[in-house]
Amino acid sequence: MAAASAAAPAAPSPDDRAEARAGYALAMPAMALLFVVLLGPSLAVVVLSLTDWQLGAPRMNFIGLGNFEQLFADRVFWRSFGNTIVYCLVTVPGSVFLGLGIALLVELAPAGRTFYRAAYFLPVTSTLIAMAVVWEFLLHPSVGLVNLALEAVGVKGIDWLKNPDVALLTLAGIGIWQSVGLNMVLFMAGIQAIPADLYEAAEVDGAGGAWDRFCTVTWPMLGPTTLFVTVVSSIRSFQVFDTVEVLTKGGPNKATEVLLYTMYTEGFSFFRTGYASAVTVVFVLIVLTFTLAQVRLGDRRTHYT
Amino acid sequence: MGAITISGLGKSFGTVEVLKDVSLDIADGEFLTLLGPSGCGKSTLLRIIAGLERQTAGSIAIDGRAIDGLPAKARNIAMVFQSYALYPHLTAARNIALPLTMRRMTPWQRLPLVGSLLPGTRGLRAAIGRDVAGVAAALDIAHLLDRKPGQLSGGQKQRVALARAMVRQPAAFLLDEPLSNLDAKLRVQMRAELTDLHRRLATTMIYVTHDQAEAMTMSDRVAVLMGGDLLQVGPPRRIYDDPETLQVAEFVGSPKINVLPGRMGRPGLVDCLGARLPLGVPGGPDVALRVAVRPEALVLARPDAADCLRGRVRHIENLGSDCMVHADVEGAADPVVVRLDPEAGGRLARGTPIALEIPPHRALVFDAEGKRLRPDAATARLRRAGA
Amino acid sequence: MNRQQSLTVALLRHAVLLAGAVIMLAPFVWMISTSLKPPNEIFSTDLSLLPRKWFALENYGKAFTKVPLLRYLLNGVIVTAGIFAAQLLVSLPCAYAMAKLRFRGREVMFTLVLVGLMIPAQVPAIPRYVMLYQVGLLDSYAALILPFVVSAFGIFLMRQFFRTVPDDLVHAARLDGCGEFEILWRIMLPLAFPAMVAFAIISVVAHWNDFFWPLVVVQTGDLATPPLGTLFFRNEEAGSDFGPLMAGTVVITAPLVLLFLGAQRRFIEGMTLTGMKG
Repeated sequence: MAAASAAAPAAPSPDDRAEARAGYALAMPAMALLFVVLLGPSLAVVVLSLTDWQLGAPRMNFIGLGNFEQLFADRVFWRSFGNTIVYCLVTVPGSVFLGLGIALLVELAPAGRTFYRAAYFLPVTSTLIAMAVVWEFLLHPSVGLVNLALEAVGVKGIDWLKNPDVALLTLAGIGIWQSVGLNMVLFMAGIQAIPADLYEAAEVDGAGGAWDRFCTVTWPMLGPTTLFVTVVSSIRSFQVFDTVEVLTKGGPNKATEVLLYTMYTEGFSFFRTGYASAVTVVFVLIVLTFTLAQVRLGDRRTHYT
Repeated sequence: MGAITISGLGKSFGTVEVLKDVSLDIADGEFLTLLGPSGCGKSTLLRIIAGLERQTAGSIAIDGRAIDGLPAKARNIAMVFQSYALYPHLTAARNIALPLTMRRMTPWQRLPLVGSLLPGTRGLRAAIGRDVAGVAAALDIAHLLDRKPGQLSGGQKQRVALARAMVRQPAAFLLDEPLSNLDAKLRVQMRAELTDLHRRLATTMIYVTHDQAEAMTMSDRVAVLMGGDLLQVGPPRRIYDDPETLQVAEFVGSPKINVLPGRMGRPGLVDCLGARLPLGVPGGPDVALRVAVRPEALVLARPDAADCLRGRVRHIENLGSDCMVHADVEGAADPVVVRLDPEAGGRLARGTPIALEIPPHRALVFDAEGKRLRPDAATARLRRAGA
Repeated sequence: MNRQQSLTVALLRHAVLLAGAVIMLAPFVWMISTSLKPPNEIFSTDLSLLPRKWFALENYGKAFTKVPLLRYLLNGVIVTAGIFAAQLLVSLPCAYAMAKLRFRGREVMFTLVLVGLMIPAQVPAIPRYVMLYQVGLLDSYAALILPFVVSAFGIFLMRQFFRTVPDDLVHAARLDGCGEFEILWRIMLPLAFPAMVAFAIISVVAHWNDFFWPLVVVQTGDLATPPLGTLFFRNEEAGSDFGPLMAGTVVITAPLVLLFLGAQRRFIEGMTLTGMKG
């Protein structure tokens, strides 16, 4: 046979171009819409955060980082920021460790597995606003189930949502109630993915007891899942808004003011568009940090398990 | 009609050349097998013929008409995939009907509900149904038509895939390792059925395989493809008995051909591990050569015979019908394999010294690069006279 | 482990899990229980699950007449169905092109989809609001549906699914005479059914339960989606008439809860995928 063909590479044939044309035709509507409703507006938020615009105002001035300077000088913003962090610091460990514990218990034996899974998962799918209204009733200082139950065992109840010391923790409690089921099923999937022969190997190697098996096999093998669940929970907790709007409106005395609630009131009650955009930018930067961590962990997860 | 002409075909992915200047003429109605190890470019060649991939050089024509610019659906070529590629959500009948639906009905007629209201749709559907039934009867799968691929066995899927290819009476069939997912017994049966089918249809078939048994038993001609090069094209017997290169000789045949070091001796004679073979190949004295002999060509000689390979039995495989004797021969890097009848083999044991004779007319000689050396006319005459 | 030990473990397991389940389910149980009770029982301090006097008819009757509950549910159906239909129509072709067709810029486009996947839902809210304000579409079904007609998550999910469909199937379809649109419609779409169900669950749950966006764009009660309607109802009641309010929340939560109980496996599988979404 002759040596390598000397001919120049053939020009793209009509068929290749037809495939590319079909590709564009099928992908373009989605991409255009993605830009109009998601990517464009998200970029616009960044631009708006550099202006002093208020919705309906005729003029818009670029004021550089003025909004951010104002923001960082504002005690309410720092309160809001701090509250969001506290909310996460309670909700994330709470829902992750409870989720893990419940998943371990449920997976211990087949009896009642379906029932427990459904029971714990139910709050995840139910309409949070409606359930928040129910919680408001349950937490009612005089006729609410929670205080009635406490009084039945001799503990004096408190006003869970109006007491500035506990209001944020109460919301965090509802947050845990709502998300623990999702973490549970993620952990259950992780537990089921652990090969059974690892347990057999551990037993042969002398790790016989339940605690030993947990330490030598389950916990190390669940490491990637735990990291993943933690990051996902963090992102979800950071977006807390619904319960705040319905139950406390940020009160009492800003005790439950959180970032998204600040963004909502500035943007849609006071129509300080530029300022609210600056809050959004701060919010998205924090969430993106979590998300990028998640993507990197996700990569690790695919490699290591 | 389906005579396919491939000229100067090349394909590269980036800097990797998978096909190098391949030219091949396939006659109408021929059964041609593309044989080669995995990764040799045979599947790529098939996909280029089908129009699923583009060549980077060269051209393909069917019946003299270039088809390079045509999309797959306009080429009138059918293909049977290694994975069968049956649509899992459609019944066998609808799988087979799809190519006809696409070709005979307008886009409007193909619409659900609306289509059936249009004039002519019902007639067309009935005609398609008849054709599907005809093909199904020919392949003996009429009773499977209502099943989905998930409910079919490997062999049944194979037939449905064949039916889908046959139903539109294409100019040529391309078959990409169609038997590799079947168990050994079924594979032998399908080999016979495919050959029979080819005889009945008399349509061009291009068949890709890495299995030389399939290539040998089914083809009119075999094209051996290695590393993107087309090494040799010819009838199966020729590929086996008369290979052009050592590569082809080594790839075809099981157990593998024995390759022994040789050296040019006196004119017309080749020295090979103590045997002097009157092979009549051209070349100066002392030129290094390779002598290749198929296991069944070697002959067991008496221990004291002259001009023989000498060695000791290392290992005996009794296959029932044959007996493969592996022997360590002095000077040979690998054990030499001899095929004997079980009776002769049974008389040998591990460690028995043996002598092996190489019949000169069964020995294949290659130069150091692996190119075949044939007796030239002058030495051949000399040889005859000497004999 | 001997038998007695394992029995203890089993009992302990059930005790802990049941206690937890009681806490998880208490709001649901109490919601239903309250919706059946007359006011004097609701405001009494004894903890009884069943009402002494059945008051269901009155509570539910009041819930349906005081606010247009059915209208809220209908709005919820219109909005979630509209959003999901649009998302499917837009995402499927794009996902197919990104999974199976070769064209320049495909990787860049997919990166943009991934970027879109990472943006929290509330981030584009302000500019979306401004855009709708400027075209005069605030307070309309369009305002509730348009911002969500494309789902980066949907494109991503369906692309991942389409990539698992063997290339040979697409090639066979091309040889059989299908064009790209027909491959999508005849081959890919029927195969993608399980993935579409997961996508449907995620989309419907997210938008049925979404509160932030309807709160921002809807002023008129007639356009309220179920969560927003719940809030309207609550504000109307000023926190006193709990019987009808709980009846209302029962009606609002019922559709998704029933859907979940009817298709638990699919729901849980689907919702775990949102983990990827953040």
